[in-house]
Amino acid sequence: MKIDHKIVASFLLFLMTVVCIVSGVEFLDMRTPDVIYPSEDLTKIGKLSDYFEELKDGSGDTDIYFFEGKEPGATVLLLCGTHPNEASGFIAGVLATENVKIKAGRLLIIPQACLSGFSCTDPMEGYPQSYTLESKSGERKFRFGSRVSNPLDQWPDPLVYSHFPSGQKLSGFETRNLNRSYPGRPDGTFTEKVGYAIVQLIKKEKIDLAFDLHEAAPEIPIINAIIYHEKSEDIGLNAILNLEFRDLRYAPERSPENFHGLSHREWGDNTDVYPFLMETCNPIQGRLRGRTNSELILTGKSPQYLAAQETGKLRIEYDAEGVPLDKRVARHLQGFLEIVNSYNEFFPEKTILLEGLPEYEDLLENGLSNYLK
Amino acid sequence: MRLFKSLTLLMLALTFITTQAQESKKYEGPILVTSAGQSADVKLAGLLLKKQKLEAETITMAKAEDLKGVKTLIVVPGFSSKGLGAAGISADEELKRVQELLKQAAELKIPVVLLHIGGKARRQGQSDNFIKEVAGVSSYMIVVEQGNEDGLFTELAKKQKVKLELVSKIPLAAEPLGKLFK
Amino acid sequence: MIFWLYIVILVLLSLVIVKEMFEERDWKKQIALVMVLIPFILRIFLIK
Repeated sequence: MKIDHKIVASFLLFLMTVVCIVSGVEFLDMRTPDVIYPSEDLTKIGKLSDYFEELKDGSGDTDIYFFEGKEPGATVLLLCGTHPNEASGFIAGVLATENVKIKAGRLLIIPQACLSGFSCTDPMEGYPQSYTLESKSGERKFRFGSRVSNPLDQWPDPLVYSHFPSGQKLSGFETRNLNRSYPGRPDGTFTEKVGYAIVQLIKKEKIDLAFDLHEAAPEIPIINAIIYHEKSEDIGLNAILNLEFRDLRYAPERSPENFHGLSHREWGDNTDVYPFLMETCNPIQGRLRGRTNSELILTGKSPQYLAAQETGKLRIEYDAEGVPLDKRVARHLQGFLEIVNSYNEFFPEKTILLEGLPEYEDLLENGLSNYLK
Repeated sequence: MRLFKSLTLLMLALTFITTQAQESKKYEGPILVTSAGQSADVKLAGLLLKKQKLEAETITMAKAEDLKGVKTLIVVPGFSSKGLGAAGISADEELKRVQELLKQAAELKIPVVLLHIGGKARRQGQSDNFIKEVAGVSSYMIVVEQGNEDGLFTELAKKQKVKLELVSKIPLAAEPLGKLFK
Repeated sequence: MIFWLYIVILVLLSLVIVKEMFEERDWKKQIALVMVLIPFILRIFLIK
């Protein structure tokens, strides 16, 4: 029996509608905001649009958590979630927001700098949309987003991305990468506008010290590195030596003067801030990762990377224990704390005094769950 | 017999004192610190020397002419693509610079100290090329253990017949470094 | 502006594909056409 081709077409269209509804519901689930419970020392929650009106109520208008101490001191910016597929940066920001206590100075935390990127995943990567962490109040779900802004906010990508104002050429995909968009411009692309707003925030809030937390694949040479602008060099090196005493190894990397668009370069060049960028090792971002699921985000265990490491071609510490999220978050927080301490040593007249954040060893011993509300 | 024993002891003591004197005489200021591979470890080396109250000039891209008046050259090997990017040179150009610098140091009889503090992050691939280049002319090596897990530095020091000082952490490299000049 | 231009292009392309589906007599080719249509529809409705 031969079925009429128009009936087949109608049936397929119906099937397509079902597929679109089912997958659409799943995709739209990524628009549900992550919930963060700030510590009692929170002064106010601002918005990025406070620094650039055009972002107001849009998908780039991320929250800024303000913590202000009773004593005056330095102002520090902890920017996380630049790349929403780099979980340790985001979770370090969440943990800091939920635990920090401040005695002197001001701390501004942006847990989701590229808020738009949290609403989708990277195509063709097979990434999970979220992962679940244990917390004091039970299980909490966090989004695992894309490296770049959602194409629904900025599309199409050009073949070649020309960075403003340097004119540096990068692949078209990078046009939606926040960490290639600084210093940004008010009349630029969506991502450039977000970058512009962050630079305006640094200027208006007179930020003294700023952090941008990242992760990278195990094969990337800047794993476990602290990247600094040349003016931040002494502060960074001093912190690296202090971290060594805790058996925490961070490779110092000076920001190349001719590589534009990155926070550690453009924040330093365009504002008075001392910028730092830190990287941890995240196997789910790597090409050799194997099975790609939320467990890999949490455990960082990849038999493929272990096999690769055994060949002697990898230049990182990697063993059967993997690189669990707890450890990656602990590294970020300890690096942050040591750089803040180092800043305080260099600027004793303008210090920032923070409490409540777990030390590296405490976080490993007690686990993330004990520090998430 | 007792006289013989005393004489032997005296001779041994004298030999020890002479060797010590020679070793301490071997390394003196002015000190020039440079990188081989443009990793930022060279800046940490400068900081370590500072902590030992030793005056040293750090020129990340030191050239042969910078050796004028220098009495000790400390080279910190370690490859960094970011560092090379910052310096605006290629790995080949960097290797050529290092080779010329080391050649000039040998001609001027300036002792070279290899200081490797980058651990695993500054090993293998391009980093090993720079390490081998520097090790070939160095008269003393101070290495953070993590960078010597495969025994490369032990092997190089044995081949070069020079002393290798292994330390467990970067800050601990300051002490042997300081001792060389004291 | 270019964003909406691309959306218009997608709508037009989708209409052409639907038309083609109803004219195509080979069911395997009809399946291929509907598979192309899915990401287009998701983008037109600003879902993905």
